[in-house]
Amino acid sequence: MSKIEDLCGEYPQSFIKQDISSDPNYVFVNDPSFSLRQLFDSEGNTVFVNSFIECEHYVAGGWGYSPIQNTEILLHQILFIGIAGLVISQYLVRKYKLINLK
Amino acid sequence: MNSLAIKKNKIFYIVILLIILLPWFNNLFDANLKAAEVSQEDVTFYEINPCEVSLVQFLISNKKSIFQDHYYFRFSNYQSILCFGKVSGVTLLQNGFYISVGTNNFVNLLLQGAMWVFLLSFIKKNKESDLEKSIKDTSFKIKHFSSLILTSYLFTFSIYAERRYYEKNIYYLNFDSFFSYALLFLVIYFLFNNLVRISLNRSSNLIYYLPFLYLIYSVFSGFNFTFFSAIFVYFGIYSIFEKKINWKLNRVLLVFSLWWIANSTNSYYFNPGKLRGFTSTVYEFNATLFWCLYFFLLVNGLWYFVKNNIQNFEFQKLINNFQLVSVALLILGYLGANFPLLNFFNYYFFGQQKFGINIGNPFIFNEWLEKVSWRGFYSSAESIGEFYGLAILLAIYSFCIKRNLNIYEKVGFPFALLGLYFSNNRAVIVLVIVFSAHLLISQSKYKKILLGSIYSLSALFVIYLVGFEKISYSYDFLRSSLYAQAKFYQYDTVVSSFLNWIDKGFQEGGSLSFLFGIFSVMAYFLNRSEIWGIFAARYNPTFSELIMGTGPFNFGQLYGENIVNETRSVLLPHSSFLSFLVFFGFLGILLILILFSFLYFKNRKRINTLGKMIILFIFINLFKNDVLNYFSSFVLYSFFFMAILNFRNEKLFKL
Repeated sequence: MSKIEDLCGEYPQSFIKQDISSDPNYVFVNDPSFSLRQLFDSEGNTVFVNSFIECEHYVAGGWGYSPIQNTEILLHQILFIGIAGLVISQYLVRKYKLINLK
Repeated sequence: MNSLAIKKNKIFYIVILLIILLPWFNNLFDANLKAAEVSQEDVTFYEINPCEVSLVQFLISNKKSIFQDHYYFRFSNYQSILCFGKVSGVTLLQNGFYISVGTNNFVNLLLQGAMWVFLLSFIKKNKESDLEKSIKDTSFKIKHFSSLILTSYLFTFSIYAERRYYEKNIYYLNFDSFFSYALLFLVIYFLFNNLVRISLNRSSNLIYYLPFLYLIYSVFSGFNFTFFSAIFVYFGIYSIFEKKINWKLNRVLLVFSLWWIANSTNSYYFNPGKLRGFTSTVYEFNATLFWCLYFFLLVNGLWYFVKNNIQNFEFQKLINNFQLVSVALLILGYLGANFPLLNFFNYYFFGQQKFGINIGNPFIFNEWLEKVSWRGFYSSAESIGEFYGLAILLAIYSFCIKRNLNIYEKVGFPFALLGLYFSNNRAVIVLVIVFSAHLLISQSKYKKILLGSIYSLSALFVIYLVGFEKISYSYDFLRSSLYAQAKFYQYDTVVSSFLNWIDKGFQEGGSLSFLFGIFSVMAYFLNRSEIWGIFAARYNPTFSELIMGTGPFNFGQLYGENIVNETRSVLLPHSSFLSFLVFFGFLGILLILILFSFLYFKNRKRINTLGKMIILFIFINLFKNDVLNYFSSFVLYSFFFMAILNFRNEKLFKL
């Protein structure tokens, strides 16, 4: 399943992709059959979307994150720093031992 | 000073134990939520509260789950780091409770890796440490560091190459971002750095611990590589830097590799199942590239490792470890089969490819009064039967030489006997009886008469095992049994090129028909007609693929290309020769056989009776089992081949 389908639901049968970004006056029309969805960007900012076309547009534009995903990304970053710290400290300890042995 | 060192060691062990155990207590002290007791009527608590209670909390509320056989603990690797060690769901399936325990691939790497490095640290150190070596030899430092970086890079590349497999296993990892691979590389580098350092400091003793690979298989949960194979890959790269590899042989392998890589233009997925960690999950360009490099470095690394550590080899130490592992495998297998929680932890901490068996009674027979194969701890009953068979053979050899058994052999021998009986590997049982009798009788005055009797009795025993009635079947029936099975599994009008080829051979008669007839007769007596028939129905190579193969550890094309009628399960080829046909083609098999024959005849005066027995034992089992598709067997058998065919056996097997 693609990220768009994951966050916005399945593509409607009659869906036609429109070039929204080149039309500055484009207005999204609410779709009563589409249940309101909350989207997040990588920094945790939030937006509500009211139609599949709006949801698809936002997700394609980088609003395809979720709070769970953001937490996981943060945890990955912490892990990276932690492991890098361990690797560096192991290297320094070894270097210190080497100097002492010499 | 000494007491300070002991104290430091104690603290180190306690810290490591805490690191390994504490994750399973995750969220234990959250007073707001109490784990519910599961019942046939109600498991809703765990549906509403995924990843809220720890495994230990669950066990406290459901004590029966530790020992009752209708509880099954299973890992769910696709979970957040925060969910590690917590119950992510409970499902009721056919009156059994399946408890899904949340794990995360990054934590798995660190936790399992720490555990295995910790276990390695118990092996006795070399006289000279790598630290001392690096002071004396600066070129070592450069080669070591480069090999380490390249090994880590290669394994990280494997994740990129088999992305389709990992996308289902690593929680919210963006496979298109550089950061993800940088993180994976860093974690892998951290682990391999410690693994290689610990191994280098113990390199001369590591060789005795090869049997332990059957116990600690070391495949990470949610990953498709084995941790300990990294040591050999490292040695493989290091040997290239040291210019200590045989380029004559490796040139041939490189030519084959280039062909395999260039040929892999399609894409076929393969569910690794019980071969996880030692097989490609996808037949694609990048995956073939990785597995070709991996195979090349693994074989060269193994040769480098054997060559450098065989000079002061003490055979008794290897025999002792065979016995120790036999005891541990049987006990852990039995406990795991009877205690679901232990089965779960066996899988995780020993890095198994497949959960241990859950049949609590290893003596069980089926409704036709046939012994049911009991694999216990290991993922394949046949392969573990071979291991027990070797353990018995080595103990008997030791007895013949020393006229007594040491404590390891006295304890291990009955366990190995039981293990072999439980595994129900009849070919190994026959081989062990014949070889053991040969060893025991060879020093007797009446050697010739006794040997004659033993071989006659063994022949009768083989006929009994095969079944007296089967011996009387006509040759025409036997020669076509495999072909009939292949035709049975052929799907509609979809005929594989291999089956087509056999078909033509049958119609035209001649040498091909005769050769295939002999193969079919052997398949019948080895009970392989159906499985090899399915292989023939599946195998659909082009002419060049039939000659050159499709690359090492690549089953994707075999299982993905050609459709066959429904089979009981995935059903592997059950012959390492057939696997090799897929991997290396006819030419590859021919070259391997020529190499072994050349080495055998060149060094035949240096190969003693035990050496010949082990070679024959392995060859027979290669013919009827997938044994080389398991990392532990691959390493152990490669070691035996390399050592027996290249070094003086009298010294090698000296006790």
